[in-house]
Amino acid sequence: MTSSGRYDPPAFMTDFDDIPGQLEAWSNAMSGWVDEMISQVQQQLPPGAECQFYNLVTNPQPGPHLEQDVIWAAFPKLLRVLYGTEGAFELADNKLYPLTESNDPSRAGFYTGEIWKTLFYRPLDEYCEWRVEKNDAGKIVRVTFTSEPPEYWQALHGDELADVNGNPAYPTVGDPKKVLALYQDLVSPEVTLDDLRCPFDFVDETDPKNPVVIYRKGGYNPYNKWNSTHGIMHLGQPNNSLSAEVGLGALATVIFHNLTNDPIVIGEALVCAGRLGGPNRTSDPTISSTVNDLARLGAAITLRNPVGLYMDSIDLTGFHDPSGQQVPQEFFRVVRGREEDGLIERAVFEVPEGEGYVVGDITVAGVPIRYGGQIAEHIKVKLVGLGSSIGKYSNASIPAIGQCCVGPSQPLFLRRPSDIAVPCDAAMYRAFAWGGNPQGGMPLPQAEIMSATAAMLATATTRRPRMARHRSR
Amino acid sequence: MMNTPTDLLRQLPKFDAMPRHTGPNVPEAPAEPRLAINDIQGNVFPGFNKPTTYFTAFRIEDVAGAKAWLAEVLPFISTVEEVLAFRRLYSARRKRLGGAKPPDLVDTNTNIGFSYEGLRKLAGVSAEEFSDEAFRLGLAERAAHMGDSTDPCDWVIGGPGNIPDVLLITGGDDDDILRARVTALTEEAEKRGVVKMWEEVGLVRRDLPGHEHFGFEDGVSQPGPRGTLSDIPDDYLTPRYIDASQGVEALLYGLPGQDLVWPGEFVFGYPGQGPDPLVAGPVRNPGPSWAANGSYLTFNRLRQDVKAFWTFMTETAAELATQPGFEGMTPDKFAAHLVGRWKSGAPVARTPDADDPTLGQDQYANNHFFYGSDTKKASLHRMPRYGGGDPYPDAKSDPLGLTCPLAAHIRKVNTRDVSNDQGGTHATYAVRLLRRGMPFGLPLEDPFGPDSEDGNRGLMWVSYQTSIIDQFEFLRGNWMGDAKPPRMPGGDDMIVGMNGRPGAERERTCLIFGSGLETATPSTRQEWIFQTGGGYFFSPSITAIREVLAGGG
Repeated sequence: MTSSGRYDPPAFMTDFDDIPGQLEAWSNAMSGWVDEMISQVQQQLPPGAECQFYNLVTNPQPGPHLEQDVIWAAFPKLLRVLYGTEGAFELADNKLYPLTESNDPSRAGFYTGEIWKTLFYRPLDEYCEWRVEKNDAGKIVRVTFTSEPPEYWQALHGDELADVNGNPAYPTVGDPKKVLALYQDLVSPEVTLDDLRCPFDFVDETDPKNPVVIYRKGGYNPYNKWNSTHGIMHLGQPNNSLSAEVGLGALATVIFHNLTNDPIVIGEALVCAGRLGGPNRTSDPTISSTVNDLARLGAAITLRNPVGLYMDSIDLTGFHDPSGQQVPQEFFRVVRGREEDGLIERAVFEVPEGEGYVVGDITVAGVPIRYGGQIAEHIKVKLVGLGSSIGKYSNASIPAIGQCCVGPSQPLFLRRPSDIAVPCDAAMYRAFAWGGNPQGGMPLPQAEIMSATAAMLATATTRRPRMARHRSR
Repeated sequence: MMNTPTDLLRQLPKFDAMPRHTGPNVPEAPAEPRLAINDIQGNVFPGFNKPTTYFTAFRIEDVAGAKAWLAEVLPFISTVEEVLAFRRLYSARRKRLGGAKPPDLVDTNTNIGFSYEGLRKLAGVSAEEFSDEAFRLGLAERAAHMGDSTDPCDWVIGGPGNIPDVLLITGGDDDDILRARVTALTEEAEKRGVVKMWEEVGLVRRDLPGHEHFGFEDGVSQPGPRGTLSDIPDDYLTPRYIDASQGVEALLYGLPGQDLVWPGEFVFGYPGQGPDPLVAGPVRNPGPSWAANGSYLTFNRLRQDVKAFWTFMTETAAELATQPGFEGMTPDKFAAHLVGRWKSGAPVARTPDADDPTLGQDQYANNHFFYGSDTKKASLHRMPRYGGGDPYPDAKSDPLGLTCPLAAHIRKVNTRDVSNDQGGTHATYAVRLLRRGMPFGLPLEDPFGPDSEDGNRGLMWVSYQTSIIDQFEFLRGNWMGDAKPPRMPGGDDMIVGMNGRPGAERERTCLIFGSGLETATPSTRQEWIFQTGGGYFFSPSITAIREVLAGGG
């Protein structure tokens, strides 16, 4: 149970407090996502198994609980894997992608249609995004970080929040004037409400016979210029959403087995086998396997209230001013969220007026700051899980449904999880074909893998789940 | 009649000297690269492992003279091949003598490393192709970001204006022969304008061989580099012990628990880790072409305050013992839980309540434990008496650190099969180090008694890796230097971590669990590890020394 009896807003932020009905509406949406995912997981499980993920508000579990911070590094590992350290720094700071393109070369863009070519996101997919500002001399003067989910801002605007499949489902009350006031305060006094709204329906034409309205005319536009090209307020990369976090937390409670019938326990292998998100990220493999470790112990699992995505902390050890002195912690100023609890939603790294130097004059381990990413490297992002009742469940596992192929042109890159029944292209190999369990059976020879895969899938007693919108990305 | 663990230990051969088939013949085992065993310096692997080792630092004042000196030194540089061959000879003779140490079989090994400045003097502009920023800047510039609070100007070697160009490491079994070798090489150096700046001796503890100065067995868990020594099938550098019937564990580990890591993580010019531990990644050579078969060498002279360490352990254990869930806490048990191993090397994961020296000394068992699932017995194929696995209690699943704390040193530097903040378990292979350090200074028998050495003891830390930034500095500065990573609920590394976070006033804190899920958060501002010297070096191949560094003079 939560002390308020509701799912509270991320970091207990107070913007909803004086909007009548808003806190209930937010809790309703959060609770709805949780229940939808419980239902989805239940369909995936074999007969006799019960979903181990639970709704903290409507179905609190008795007994002692253990809270576990699940932490991951903020700098996007995918960019390093694809482009090396220097290339990654450059792209992370400076490149904006249109929504018609993916920053992951193994998948298609997010949406199709002319409007999406004009809407941009940052290629930062570890639930922490940043924006760099420089002075006329080209030196960095400020880096602004955010981990706020887009749904929070849609709710603050009063839009109907989508369910996990992308269909409008959860009305909110909202107060657009508050959205505007916050933007004007934190991003620019020039922001207008029209800037923040969709001038017409934003439609996804990926299936031309079935166009889907993603954001409605008059609704809040998460890709407005003040959150992309001209500023930063909240997460924009389409995989960085609160419903995706809830989805991953729930789906990761499912135990998968491999071709030798052993449970898949290694984080990256689990993401591939269960099609649980981005296998090259610091976030998804760690979130998935940390949840799954508890699931295999038979525990009841949920996300701790307030559910959100947070910067936990930054380690500024070795950040030196031009005279070689350690810079104080206060240079990382928390603007929204709760620093003392590690629930940071918005923070700004800059040198206070009057010090006589700027961020670009600071060195980290002797290296001058040329990229905001050098600061992001020292930030840990987190969610908080809740486990209890170890041993309560003894669910059977289900066959792996996915695989990640790896090709010779990008040998460090795990391609997005694909259907395990379809062989990898010639010249590629299935990663973790050895099973993803270091104590598992001897791997099968390559020549036998596909027939063994078919045999394993034939044992499945559950329907293959419908790929939810957030997972198909 | 059951064999007791002690019986088994006495009967185990430590090393089969001559057989070259060191792995199970498994058709699905990945093909491993042939290592240039006559070109890679032998302290990288298998390591000198000598009871006495000299560390001598030099400055090059005459480049031509230095090149001539290097040509003289070259015949003394021990390669992988000869260090391995000596180990095999030593083991064969020891076996013939029924386990007694052969008294007159001795060897002396020298290896050499160069700082960035040293390489620039000898190799000119091609040295600038070494891209590792840490190597280029040097340890003194970088130490603060790993939490070090000392002033490099106070270091005995390696501080500003005191950075050596050359580091010679010479180890030997016979002190007279060893001393003569070092003296001869140093005299030749000084004749040619290569000036000795500093020298100190590392000594394996004579009272507790293999233990560092706080009293703990050191170097229990090392990664096992993949790679072969010859064309003979399965002639692996890292012997494979796990039987094929055991399953995929036979392909992932050498000794049980010893991760097999692609050699490019340790030596330039070889494939490193990819996303799948069984598939070789791309070749790593982030330097000039002559960097192949070389390795970065990190060296740190770390003073250890043994009294401060055991004062904290004793006082804190006494406080804990009064708290529910921690009854019976002793200094040794508390320290063991913060290390992750007891003094003997026995892992807390397998024996949480008491030390088990037989387990600690048993290399076939002391590293066999997983965190994410219950550990199953592992059948060994070269140890018939371990055909059904080892006889010790098996570790139980411990993803939350209830048995072995997540803040324990061994869990701070290696998360094994559970995930960490770098995403999954890739780091378990990609941030590993080959550790070749040894103690310096005489032991302090009684931590609270008189100290004739006035605290001058500690560790000559040496590690080999192909990225100083992403391996050595990552471990010291990120995982060991911060409270949250690699995994929570943990905390700071209380044993060897350093907290340099602004405003934290050096305080280190961690979370440990009691017998019934009670928690405690021991903390301290006291430090007991102090950087007193060090540097970053490159340990080149024999070919590079001969043709580039000694050549062109």
